[in-house]
Amino acid sequence: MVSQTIGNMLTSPGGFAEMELGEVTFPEISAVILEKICQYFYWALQYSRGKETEFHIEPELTLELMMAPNYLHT
Amino acid sequence: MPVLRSREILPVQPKPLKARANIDPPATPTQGREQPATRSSPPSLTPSPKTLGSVSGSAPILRRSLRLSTKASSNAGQDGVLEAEEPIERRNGDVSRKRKLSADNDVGLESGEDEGVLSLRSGKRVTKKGPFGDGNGSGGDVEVEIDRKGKSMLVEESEDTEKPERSKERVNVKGKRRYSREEKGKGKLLVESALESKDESLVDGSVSDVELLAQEVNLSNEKPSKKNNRRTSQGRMERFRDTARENASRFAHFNTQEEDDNILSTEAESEIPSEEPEEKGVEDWPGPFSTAMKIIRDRAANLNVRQGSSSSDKVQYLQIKWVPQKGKRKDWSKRLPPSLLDLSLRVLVDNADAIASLAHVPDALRHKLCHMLCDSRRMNSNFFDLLLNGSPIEIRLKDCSWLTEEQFNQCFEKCDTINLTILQLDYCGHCLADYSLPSTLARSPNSLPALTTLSLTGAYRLSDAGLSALVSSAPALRSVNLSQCSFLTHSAIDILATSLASVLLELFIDDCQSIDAMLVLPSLKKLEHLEVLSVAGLESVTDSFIKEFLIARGDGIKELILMDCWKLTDSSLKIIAETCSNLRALDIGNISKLTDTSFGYLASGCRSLQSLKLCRNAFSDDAIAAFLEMSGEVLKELALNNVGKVGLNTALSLARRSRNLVSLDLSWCRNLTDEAMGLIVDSCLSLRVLKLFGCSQITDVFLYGHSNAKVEIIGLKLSPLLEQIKTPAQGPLQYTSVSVGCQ
Repeated sequence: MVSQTIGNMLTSPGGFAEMELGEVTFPEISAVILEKICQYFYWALQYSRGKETEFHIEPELTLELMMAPNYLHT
Repeated sequence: MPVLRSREILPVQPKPLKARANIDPPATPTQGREQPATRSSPPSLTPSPKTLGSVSGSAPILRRSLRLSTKASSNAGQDGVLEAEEPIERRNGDVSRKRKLSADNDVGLESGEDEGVLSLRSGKRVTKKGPFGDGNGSGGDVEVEIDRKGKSMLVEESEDTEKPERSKERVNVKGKRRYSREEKGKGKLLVESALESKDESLVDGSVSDVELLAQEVNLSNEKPSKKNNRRTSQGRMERFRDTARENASRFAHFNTQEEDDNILSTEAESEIPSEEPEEKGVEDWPGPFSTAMKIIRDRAANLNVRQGSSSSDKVQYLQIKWVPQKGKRKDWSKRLPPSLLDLSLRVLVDNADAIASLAHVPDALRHKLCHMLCDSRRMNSNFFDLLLNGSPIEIRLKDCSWLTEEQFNQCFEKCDTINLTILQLDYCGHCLADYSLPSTLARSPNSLPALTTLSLTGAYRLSDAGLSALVSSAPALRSVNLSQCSFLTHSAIDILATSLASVLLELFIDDCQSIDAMLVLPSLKKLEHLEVLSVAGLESVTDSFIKEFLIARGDGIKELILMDCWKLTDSSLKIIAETCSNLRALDIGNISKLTDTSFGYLASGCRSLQSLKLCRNAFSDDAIAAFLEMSGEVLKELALNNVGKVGLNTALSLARRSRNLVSLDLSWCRNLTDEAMGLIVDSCLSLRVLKLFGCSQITDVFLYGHSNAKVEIIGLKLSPLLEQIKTPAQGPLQYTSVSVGCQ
């Protein structure tokens, strides 16, 4: 599970919109960071399939980038 | 031996083979020795041993033999078995187990004396042998049997016909039985209903048994010769006694892999308390031995034999268990990519100087950053400034040795400390002195109104007066860590106690060499709600200190750290057990005077013990195993660092009882084999951290063979150590939650 938070959001019982519509929005997280996170998801998938490459992170993004994964448990 | 000769496989070393099959090397060898001399079938044996070698023991076969042994009332070779077993040491404890069996059952292990042949589940027939001392001829029979088994399944069937003949022969059935028991122990074997039934499937097992036998035979081969010579009826009794002595402990902690475990465990638990005093109090047999024997018999009337075998089998059982796991583990490490959080933290640490602000960064992440920066020695005053910016709530610096006095003064002078809840400045001796306090931390009374947790370890220039100033500015302190503040004396603690008597919950005065424990005692007694006390390294801590303190404050104490207090003896543990009913964590490392009786006290007294740390203690395997049987369910953290006697009993108890164990330290426990480790790791499903420093006996068989995906094994491969030492995220206090006052 690459992101506990998203996983829980999409599967938690309670009739939440996320589960019904299958989409989750993160108003607090900026687009650039979200894009980077999606890139990370893809990279993690490749990694677990054996293709071990390096995931480059621009230093400028890193501070915010650190907080988003903390929130997303990723 | 006509029977043997008729077989193709007239092994020259039928005995050794036989021994293998029974997994009872000792027994076999002694007899075997004699046999080979009389026999002459070396060539036939060679093929069998090879086959024997690899199999992982077939449980079924073992069981069978157990059955047989129970059924059989003959003790033929019982004495002999003892003798035989002694020299051979196939596995740790196996031998002893076997001996026990022989001692235990006097039963010849074989299928009834009538037949004189023990038919093992695998269809092997073990011919009965007379007692070792008696004759030597029978040894060959057994071996022949083994040979046969190894060679072909079909041969087994023909064994039936030979049964009657076998009976005449004296075989060291016991030896065989032992093997089978052990083999049984390896796997879950159902006790075969019919002794004589030879299932085809068993044949397979027998092959493996044979292989095992072959292995064992090799081992025993060396020794039997010696044994044979020594065999005399007198010697037998003595050996019996010796064997009993050595095996007694195993029976005290039998740990059966069989389905009967469930039944037995309840009995075991109820019995352990009564048995413990015996075990603990008197680890020297033979007195307790007979009691242990009795207990075992009481526990499972019809499982006595099995118990013995299972205990001796457990190692083999472990081995068997491990074979299928190979090849899986390598996949796991590949599948886990580093988390994005870790990746970004690493980048941040590399570029720490470029960070402009830490605003909005949650405290947990700040602590992680500081931790990584301190580890890589990249911490500097710029970052420190960032940390102190704004109105920080928590500051945790695990290493302030880079901080100079000037920097410290500068940074703290402009820091707004009104919201500060946690202040941890470890190893701050270089920067912290009495004269700098008034301008930084102790600006005014109540300048640190929210400070709950203060840690100033290594502040070697801090004197009693300085501490007094600090305490007056932080009236709400609940946790104070003054480890290694060597300048402090008992009057400092007195000041603490006077001002914080009703609030202080945790006090750490490790290694404060100028503090005399007995002088500090009255102050400690004033602390009404003390939960955590650490007096590690204070040599002046004695039994009377513990006694007086705990009688006054014992019921509130949740954690006691007494590491390196070498003067303490078992009586301290007795008092701890009696007074500290809420004790959750105990550290008694390096106290060499403690004996197994301490465990007896602990097990009976501290029922909610969650964390136990031992280091270089002289406890025995059995004591620890018994403690685990009693209290293992609640245990979350266990450290058996360098407790050299830890062995299979402990491993079994861990596997059976420690469902909630999260962290386990078995560094330098060199008696544990790959199999034992594998059993522990696979059975303790909550286990996340396993430390194995110094365990070079652990090989890749374990590392790549265990099936617990979540456990992290530290200490076997070279890797940056600091990466593996993770500090758990901590709140201000360890056992009590604190509500942050509104500021």
